[in-house]
Amino acid sequence: MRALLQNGLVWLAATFVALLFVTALLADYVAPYPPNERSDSALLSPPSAAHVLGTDQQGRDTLSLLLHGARVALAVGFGATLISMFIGVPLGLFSGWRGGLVDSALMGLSEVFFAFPGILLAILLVFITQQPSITNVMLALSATGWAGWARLVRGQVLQESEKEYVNFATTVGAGTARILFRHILPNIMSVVLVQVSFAVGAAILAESSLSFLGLGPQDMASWGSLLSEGAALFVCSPYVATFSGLAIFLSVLSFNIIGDRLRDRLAQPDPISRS
Amino acid sequence: MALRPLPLLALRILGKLFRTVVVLLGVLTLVFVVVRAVPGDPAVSILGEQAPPEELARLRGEMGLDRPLPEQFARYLGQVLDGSLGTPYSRARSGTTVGDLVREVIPYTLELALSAVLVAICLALPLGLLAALYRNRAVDHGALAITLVGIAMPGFWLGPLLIHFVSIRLGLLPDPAAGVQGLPSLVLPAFVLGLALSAKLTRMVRTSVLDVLEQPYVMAARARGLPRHRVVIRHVLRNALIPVATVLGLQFAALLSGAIIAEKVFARPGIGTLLLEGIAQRDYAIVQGTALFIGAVYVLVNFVVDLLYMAIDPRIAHSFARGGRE
Repeated sequence: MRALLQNGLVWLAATFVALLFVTALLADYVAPYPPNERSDSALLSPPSAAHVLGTDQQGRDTLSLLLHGARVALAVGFGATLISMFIGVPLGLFSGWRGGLVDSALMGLSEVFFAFPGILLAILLVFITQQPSITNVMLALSATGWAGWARLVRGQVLQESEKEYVNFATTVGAGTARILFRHILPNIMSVVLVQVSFAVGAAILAESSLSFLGLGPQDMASWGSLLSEGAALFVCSPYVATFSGLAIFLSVLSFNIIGDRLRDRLAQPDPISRS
Repeated sequence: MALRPLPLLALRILGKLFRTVVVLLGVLTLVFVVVRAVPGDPAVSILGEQAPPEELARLRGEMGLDRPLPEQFARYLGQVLDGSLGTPYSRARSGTTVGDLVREVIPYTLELALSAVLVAICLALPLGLLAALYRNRAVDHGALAITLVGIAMPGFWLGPLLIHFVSIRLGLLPDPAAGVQGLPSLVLPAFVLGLALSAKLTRMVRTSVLDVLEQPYVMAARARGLPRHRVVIRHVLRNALIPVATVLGLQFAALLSGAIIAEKVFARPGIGTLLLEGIAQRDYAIVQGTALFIGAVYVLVNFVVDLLYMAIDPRIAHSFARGGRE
């Protein structure tokens, strides 16, 4: 019964994520209205047949804005995660394998970036670009994210380096790149995959936070900016803030549930507890 | 000749201190470079594009922007060391330093962060302990569900919801818009900030308690016939709290950045509000000073937690003293 409940939850989360992908890809077709179409007769209207989730203070359809906002959330979520990985994973592999001064220098550098907790560094980087776009937000989040990947992968490399297959590869004269990318990386891929799920959820939350602070992509509908506008008018109409917050919450929750399940399946320690 | 135990431990602490100073210098450099990378001329941002060139040149001179970058960095280093952190560009704040502004708001952020830690401990300790003691049972699953929700719940969503229902609809606590200060105004922001922390902490407590429960001395205590509650409180919880305390210390520093959102949602003064004001006014000195302050606090708290960890857990101190490795 318990397993059934857990599996059901994972399936629900996976279905939600799949739906998110589909709506993000097909937002132009499935959204009932263009995202910026305004209806002067329906400002801050509650849910109705014409506007299933109501409208915002500019008369825009909330559902259409949320469907288009899924694009921003997923693009930043996966974009920032992939960029962070492409920087952090090779650095972590190299740092853990070489050890010594290289390891100390790279880990020292990651510590400097780690000293900016949460979204602080991203706030600074978006600030210097002065025109927050989806690319700038992605890059800003990656500037903080790579350090976490580097430290995670380095730890794994240190464990793997002790194993027989690595000793064997070294003995037969395999080069550093071959050992790292052909032997060690495939063996730590499960850890990386689990972390991807958590990282995407965290990046979606970070993007929403930046948008809420007015530092998110300005030219596109984003859940965080919608929530920020809705929160200011919560007393008049709670719908915009409620539905946009729900979209962020369910997305992050779904990615975390999938990550948790993957971790359990692959029998890894809890990354949150480990941190 | 082998070093005696005590100097080895002292060396270890000195090594950590050296690393902390290097990271602090790195943080300082990164903030300096990032703020200097802002496109455009700060003097133009302040005086406007129509300002006469001589006025702009005078302001650039006052701000030291006409000097070479190494000289600007040396000047900035001096301002950090004397605690002034530079002068705000905004004319409305003439006569004060960024350091003054930070010192003025830090008690607000500190009281918020401390209250959030208190909320987190009150939620996480019983929940994590129960989850571990009743592993794989309904309580454990319930705790896991709560932590999942806590981690995924955006504070900038929960905050407005709580303000609407608790403050405006039910009138139980003051509405932040009314600008009321004091303990009642602290309850909601502390809860919102503490909930996310409690989710992480609950998992940490659970894992830590499960680890301790498997230790031979716990089984020995049970075998000696000690009552379960006594074993849990005196042996399990006490030892399980060591790693929890470490995580809590690190998370406390991270709360400073979480406070940026909470302060905005609840319209509270604080370091986050000061940073956002600096960004809105394009006051680079304030942005630089607040970011450096948060980064430096994080690094220093990290260092103190490392030292406390050695002090709390004698095994670590002994392992260092014997020349053990990290």
